Amino acid sequence: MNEEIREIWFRCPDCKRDCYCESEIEDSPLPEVMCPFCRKTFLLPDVRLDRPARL
Amino acid sequence: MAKDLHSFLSDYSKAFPTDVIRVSKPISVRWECTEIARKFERQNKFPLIVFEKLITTEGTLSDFPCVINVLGDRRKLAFAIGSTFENVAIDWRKRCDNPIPPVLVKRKESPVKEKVLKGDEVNLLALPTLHHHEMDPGPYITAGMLTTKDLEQGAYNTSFQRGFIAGPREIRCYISPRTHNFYNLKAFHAQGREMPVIYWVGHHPSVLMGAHTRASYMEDHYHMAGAVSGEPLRLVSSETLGDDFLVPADAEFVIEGIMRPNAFRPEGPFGEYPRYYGPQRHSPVFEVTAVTCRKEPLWHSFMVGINNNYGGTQEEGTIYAAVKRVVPQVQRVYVPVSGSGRFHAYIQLKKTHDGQPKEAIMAALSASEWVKHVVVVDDDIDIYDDRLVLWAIATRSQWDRDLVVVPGCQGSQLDPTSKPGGISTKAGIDATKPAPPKRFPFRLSVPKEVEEKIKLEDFIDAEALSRVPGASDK
Repeated sequence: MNEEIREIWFRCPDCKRDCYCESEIEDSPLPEVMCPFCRKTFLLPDVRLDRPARL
Repeated sequence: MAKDLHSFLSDYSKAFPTDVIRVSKPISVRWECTEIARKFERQNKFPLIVFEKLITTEGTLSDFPCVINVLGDRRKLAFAIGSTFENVAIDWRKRCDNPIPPVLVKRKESPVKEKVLKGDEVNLLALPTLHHHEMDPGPYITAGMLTTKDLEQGAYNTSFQRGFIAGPREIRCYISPRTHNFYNLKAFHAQGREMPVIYWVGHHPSVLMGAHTRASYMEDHYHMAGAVSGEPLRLVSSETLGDDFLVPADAEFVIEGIMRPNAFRPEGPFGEYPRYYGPQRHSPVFEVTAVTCRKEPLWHSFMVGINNNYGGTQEEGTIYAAVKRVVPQVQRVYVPVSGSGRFHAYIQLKKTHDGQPKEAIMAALSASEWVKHVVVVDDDIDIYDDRLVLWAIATRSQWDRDLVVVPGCQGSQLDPTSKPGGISTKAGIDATKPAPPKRFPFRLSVPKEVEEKIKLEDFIDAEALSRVPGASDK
């Protein structure tokens, strides 16, 4: 297994649980993500956890 | 009478009564049905289960039962098309060579029109749709045939594509970018047009196998459904998408709607066939305009990530045909569950020349984008037994001379080790003995007559035999 990461991780500010989305969402005009546990939506830059190396 | 899910359930129950289970105790759609299926899977069992009383995500008792594992193992797939465990993949593929055009029937002859709900009457959350895994955002349609028409010829394309029920009339569908439904979506949206779309849920498994067969773009999948089931698919006009949009008359449910340009919303993560959660994506929104169903319909769910016999068996036919063209000595192909039913392919050859295994590897790797690792074995290896295939690798291969590695191939986006877009390294290993006349050490054996004569029951008490634990029992 190599170190290349394809997903972007984010943490829900409300329920504090982590999730991941595909990297294309970052380039979307509206980079909206949804917490799968509480179903609230956020903008990815506001909740993003890490910044993986671009492939 | 046309084939449908009810007729299959009745026929299969008669043929394999102990492989059909009815659960009459109330059970939640939220993870509980999944855990039932998981517990069976740990025993390597995939019974057809009818959950009769399901508590929906709204907390109400659903009006309809839900059936799982209809496509749960090779035995059911074989039974559905009148084939055998060993031959089902090849027979499935062969039938596709003779498409059968569908026939149009009237509404009053269509069971799927027995109930019609339109607009605000529709509440998808009342359906017994399963919330499969903990990190899924909600209930998903998993055995729904997402069906669209192309703009040029009006050919129907159908595919099992997951749909997240995000609201009473909203489904968000994951349509992989390399699928023909995605091509259709792009074509409609390029013209600024909304795309008509349906899900149909529940039908005879031979119809589902045919409709889901891999076909070239603009080849009509309704014709393939007829080819594999052996009779024309009966179609009827839709309720809200125009008379020229035809839907399967003998389905259990049809969900009609549209996908508007630029309507994409977060969907996923979803527990997918590789047994990981596929990442959240922006997926097209299916705006529901109508739901039609039978008087007493059965909802059908596919247990994604539990058992992958279905997808693997489909690939076997494609791989077998591709290998057969270059290596006629191919005997069988198996895509095992150990590779998530997609990523491993075992090829059995009656080898006559040393170059054949590598020819077979190259043919198999290019025949299926999902297959990542190919193992070629001799015809004395039972390819349905992972242990024997691994034994062949252990004792009949040297990786420096027998391995083929091809980086930068198109693989599955859902493989968590692939690069973005599903770019993947593929490989194959020749685990065969040298071709004759070269000799190779003999396998262990006892004389044939002893093998046939000795029966455990003749020497050991039956009760004691049944109590002997398996080596992997914990």
